[in-house]
Amino acid sequence: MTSVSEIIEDATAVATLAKLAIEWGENVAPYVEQLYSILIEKKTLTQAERQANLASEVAFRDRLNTPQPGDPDYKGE
Amino acid sequence: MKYLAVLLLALLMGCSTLNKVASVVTQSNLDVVRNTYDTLLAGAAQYNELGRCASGVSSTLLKPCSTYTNVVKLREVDKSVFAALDQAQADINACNPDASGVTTTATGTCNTLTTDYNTVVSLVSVAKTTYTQVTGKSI
Repeated sequence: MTSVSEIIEDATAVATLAKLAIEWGENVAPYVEQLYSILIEKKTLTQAERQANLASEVAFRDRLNTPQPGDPDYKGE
Repeated sequence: MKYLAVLLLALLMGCSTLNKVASVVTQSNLDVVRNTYDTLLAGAAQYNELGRCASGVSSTLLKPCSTYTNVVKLREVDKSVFAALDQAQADINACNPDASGVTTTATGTCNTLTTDYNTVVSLVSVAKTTYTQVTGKSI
């Protein structure tokens, strides 16, 4: 049986991501929906969904690691 | 000879017995942690693309900017988290627990899963702290 503290923790996680979804727009909304599905509805991600997440993760990582103007390793356009 | 055959049969029967291990980490457990971390990573990517703060200028709510030093910090924690996530996923692939965390793979295959999962959780916690320190936002 799920404890009250677990329910609160899950709800907090979903609420935090929902807040970020509002702040950041479409980038985060899919993660909010998925987190809700996994935690609240107890659904399991399909392999296709997991692969799609991984592709997004790769894209975000690539953007994080891209040098910007002013960086020592920035090479320009 | 008959004795050896019986002994061999007994050994084979023992080796073919698979142990059911309960309460290992599930795929959903890892999906939740990875899902939450990827949200942070999205924010970190956006932070990198804000444009660097000019010399002597600090980031403000109205005119946010990022610093190379802070981006390097985010990149470093991401490397650690990425490696840990991949290791935990590899452990799950090998251990193959069901939705309830029960596995019937051979004894020993799941030994490192819990440890590696806890490493992921710990590193994601560090990433969250770093992210908050760098951006002022919490997740």
